[in-house]
Amino acid sequence: MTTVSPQEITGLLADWGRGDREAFDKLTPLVYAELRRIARRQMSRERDGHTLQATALVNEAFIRLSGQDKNFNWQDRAHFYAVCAQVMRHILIDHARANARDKRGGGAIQVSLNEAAALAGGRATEFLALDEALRALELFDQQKGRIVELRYFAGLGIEETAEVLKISPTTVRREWRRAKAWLYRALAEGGGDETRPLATN
Amino acid sequence: MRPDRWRQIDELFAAALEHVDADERAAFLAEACAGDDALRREVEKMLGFDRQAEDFIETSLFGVAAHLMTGQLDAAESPSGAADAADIAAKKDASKRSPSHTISGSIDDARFIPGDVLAERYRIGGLLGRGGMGEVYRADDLKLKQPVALKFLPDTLAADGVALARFYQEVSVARQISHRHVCRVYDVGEFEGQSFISMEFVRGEELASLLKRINRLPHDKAVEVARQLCGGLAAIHDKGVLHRDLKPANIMLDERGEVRITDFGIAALTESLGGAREATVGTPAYMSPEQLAGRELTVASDIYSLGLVLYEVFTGKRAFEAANVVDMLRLRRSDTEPTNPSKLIADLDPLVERVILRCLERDAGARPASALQVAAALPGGDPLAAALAAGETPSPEMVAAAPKQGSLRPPIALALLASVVVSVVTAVLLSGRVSLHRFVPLTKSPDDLKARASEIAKRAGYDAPPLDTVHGFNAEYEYVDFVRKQDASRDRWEKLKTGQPAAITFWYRQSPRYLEAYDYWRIDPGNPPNDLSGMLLVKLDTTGRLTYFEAAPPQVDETGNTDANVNANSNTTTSANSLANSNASLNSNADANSNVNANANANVNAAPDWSQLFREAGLDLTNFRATQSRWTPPHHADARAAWEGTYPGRPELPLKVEAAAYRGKPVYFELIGSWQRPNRQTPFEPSVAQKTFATLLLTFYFGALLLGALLAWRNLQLGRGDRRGAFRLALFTFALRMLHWIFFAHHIPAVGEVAQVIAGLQSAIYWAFFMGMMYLALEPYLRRRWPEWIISWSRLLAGDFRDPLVGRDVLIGATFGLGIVLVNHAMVLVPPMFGRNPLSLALNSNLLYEHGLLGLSNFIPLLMNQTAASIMFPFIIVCVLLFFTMLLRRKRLGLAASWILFYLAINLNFGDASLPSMVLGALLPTILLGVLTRFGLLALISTHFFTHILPFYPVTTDFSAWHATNYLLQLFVMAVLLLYAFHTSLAGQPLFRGRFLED
Repeated sequence: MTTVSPQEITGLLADWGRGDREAFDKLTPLVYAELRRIARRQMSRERDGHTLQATALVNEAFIRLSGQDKNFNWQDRAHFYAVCAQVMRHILIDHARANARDKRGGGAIQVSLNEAAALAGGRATEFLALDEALRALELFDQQKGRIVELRYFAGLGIEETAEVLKISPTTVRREWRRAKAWLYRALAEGGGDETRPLATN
Repeated sequence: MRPDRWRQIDELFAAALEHVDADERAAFLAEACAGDDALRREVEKMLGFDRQAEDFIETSLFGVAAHLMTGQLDAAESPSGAADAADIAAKKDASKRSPSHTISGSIDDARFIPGDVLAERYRIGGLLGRGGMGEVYRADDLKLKQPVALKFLPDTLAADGVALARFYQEVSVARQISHRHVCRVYDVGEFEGQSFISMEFVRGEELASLLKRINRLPHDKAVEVARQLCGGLAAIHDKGVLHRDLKPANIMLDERGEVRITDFGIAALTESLGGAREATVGTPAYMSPEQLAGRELTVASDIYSLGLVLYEVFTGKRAFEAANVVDMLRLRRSDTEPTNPSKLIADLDPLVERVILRCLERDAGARPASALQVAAALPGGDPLAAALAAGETPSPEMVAAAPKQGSLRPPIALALLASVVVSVVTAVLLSGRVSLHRFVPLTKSPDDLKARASEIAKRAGYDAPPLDTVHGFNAEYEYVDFVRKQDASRDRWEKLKTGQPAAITFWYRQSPRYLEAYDYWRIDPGNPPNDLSGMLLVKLDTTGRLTYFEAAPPQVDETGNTDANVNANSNTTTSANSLANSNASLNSNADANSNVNANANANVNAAPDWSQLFREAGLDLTNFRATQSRWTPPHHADARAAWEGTYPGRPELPLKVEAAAYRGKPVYFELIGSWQRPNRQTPFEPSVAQKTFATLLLTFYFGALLLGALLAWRNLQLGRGDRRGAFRLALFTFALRMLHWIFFAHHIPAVGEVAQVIAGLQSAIYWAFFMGMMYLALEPYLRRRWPEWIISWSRLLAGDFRDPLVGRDVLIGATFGLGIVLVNHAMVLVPPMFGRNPLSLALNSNLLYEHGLLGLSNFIPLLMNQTAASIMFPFIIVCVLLFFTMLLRRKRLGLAASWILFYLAINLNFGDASLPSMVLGALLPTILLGVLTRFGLLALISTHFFTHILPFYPVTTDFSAWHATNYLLQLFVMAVLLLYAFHTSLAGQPLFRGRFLED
């Protein structure tokens, strides 16, 4: 996963923050390559339409990254991936919100999980529900939250996630398995407040 | 659920998962949850979900992303329905409605379905979208095995022969355009009467859809997109194609986020097809005024559209917005101007706004002339970089117009100027220890020496007033080199101060006819040869002592004296008699040590009084011993003599004097030091090295001439040679060489002058032609590879003398040029410190002696000559560098090879180089190549000029000396040039802050 050295990106980001345009020019292909790599991992099983859409996502992610506050202080690789994952997550949430609002006139989130595949197929409301469940999970267990974010939104593999979070792959595998179960449960039982497993109040 | 409860469940859940066997797991749970059934139920529930969630969110996020992102674009029409069907339906629907390339294929109502093979070559992969003209498919080229996009054209096209022909014409040009920011056009094809274009399949999305989603781009990304757009558009324009329909929907961003311009030129087709195209709101919104008015389109029309695209990229708003086509057309045809971008975006870079508004000028002539100019005007825009990115060679005008700011900050400019002044002062002070002319006593002016030479001639019996005289100085390199090699003492150079033996000689020629050089070149001691009766050549050392005398005897003896008859009677024995007489004189001299009557003989005139010439030479005949004469006089003589002795006060330096007379008058007298070689009799026997060198030089010269001519011709044919620059350079060279000739040649009021004029013109025309041709041949390659090297040069050539960059480069060149002077000085001074031979004092070019010491009239030709040489010199370096770089394919390797070549050329030239001089010598090619690569051509020209201008004139600290005039003039020229460069490089910045003066 070392196509870009994080120090390099960090240094360039810092230079760019100081107004060095050349740094931006150098940064662009590096970050694009990183984002595309994240995307490519997921594109392999997809049809053309999806790969094109992934490109759009990468474009937008880059633009958001480059639109970041320039004083943003990048720490390390983990931070970079985390931010990438967050940016992607936010983009998709924004789109999902807009979708849901347009479809339902800003209606409430309604979950009807028939099967997991449907979610992958992508319905905005389900996606938003997943996001909500993830946020709830993060409140209980931050590590599981980060693992889901990196695995799902940044598309990192088990090994890579472990490297980024500086924990063992075994831990990642175990945590990821349980995180999925919790999220699944949250979506499946999402109807009544009382029984919601990931509600804190 | 409370966090602690949640954690309890999660931990038990984790532990339970470790037990793979169902029974073991049940047992474990029973034990772990003893007494807490609720807990056990929760964990069992989790285990259940774990089984169901096996594939959950393991599948790609991008399926979701695809739907979420396209779904939003088409939100209004998105279907509702069963969740399991939503996925497929949404995508299908989206692709139908979006005009984008980005949507996955729907097969519902497309003409072709995936799997169809067209023209036995293209297998349809899916419908990408519908453009203004027809459907666009993604397909696989089965022949070339690559994905392509197939764009189908309206049915009406096939029916219209004219339009079809024009369409083929457009495509044939468009397919030549290859550029990373332009979507390639491959070919045209036909299937069932439908024409289609095959083009590069770009994975990406349209700028239009990106802008729709995220509004405006962040500033830096926007500038990057703008620059790439300009580069791509410039490449299109460069092939003579107009886009005609530039708009965000025709601009893709590929998976690397890079711009790809599509659909260029094709718009023309649909226009010619009239109503075939669906009228859309999009297109009129991006049209130029002239396009809306139906007038002819130019590059400027595309620039206008580019301006509208940039407007949108930077502001996120369309410049013109309307609900439908009719309104849009009404809006566009009104005088409404778009809102100023800065009104929409408060912190927009003013540079951006200015360039956008310039693109949007209604008057096409007021818009930027090219897309590259737009790029240049963008923040941080570098048109050279843009041109290079476009894969194009920038034009000379563009190179000159590069936004490179040359102005120096006052402290730096001052520091450079100060370093030049310090270098000059150091060089002048050091000159007393390194410059030949500072050791040799220059007490007598050329006029004094001339009078003295003429007086010697008269006293020797040549008292007829001459018609023409010429004089000059020469350095005696043989002697200087002798001292350098043979005299190891520390004060070896100090010994030159007596002026004897002469290290610099003054020569004087007189003639009964006008002296006409056999080429246009200057008269010198051997040109024309001293072969006319009555011609005289006298050489003196700088204090006026005779070192050489030569007179051409009369062609026919008409003096009528007695011996003439004798000789006539015994013609065959004359020479034998002469020889016998000489021998006799030698014998008698050996005894008498006096030659007054040495040649006294009944048959011949009395020999001249040799002691007189000895006195003229500052020698005392009595200190010399007569010896056998061995050096043949240059002219016929009837008496010869020779003596041996030493230089006065220099017993270690043997001196031989050879003399000859004819009819009692001296025709030859010469002081011959032990270092002097008989240079008239040495046959041409070059060493292997010399032969190799000569062969190489000839090969190089003729090769360069031939190759230069071919390249120049080719560059002219391809229209890439800089004709104007070459013409100016040639004209300038011509003027320099003509001026040089005018002041340099020995003009005479005789018919021969015509031949001289022709020769002068020939030379000037040759050099002008040579420079112009070489410039045409070389410059395009230089401009293509390293345009940044010739920015200031191009500006100067365009007559922009006030440009700060020009000033900067001249100033920097002066700094390095004088640095080289100091290095040269060090090469004389340093090696003796290590006990090595120094470099010769005669580092100064011979031009110093030929011109520098010769008064005002020689100042201008020297300056002209130096300027011409300094202009040519960098081109030689560039030529070598280009050659090696092309050969070795790497700039670094080319530089290294050039460095080695120049190092060898410079240091071999200096002969027996010692380690210190080799180390110092390494500095020279380093400085030259460094200046070229870092500061460019003009700086190198300036370096060369300043390196040579100082040593060409008689540097002195005594400003009242007769030879100080040229030197002071030269200092004046240097000062004017430096102050000009200094002033220009500041570009009007105040030297001192105002307060400094006010306080």
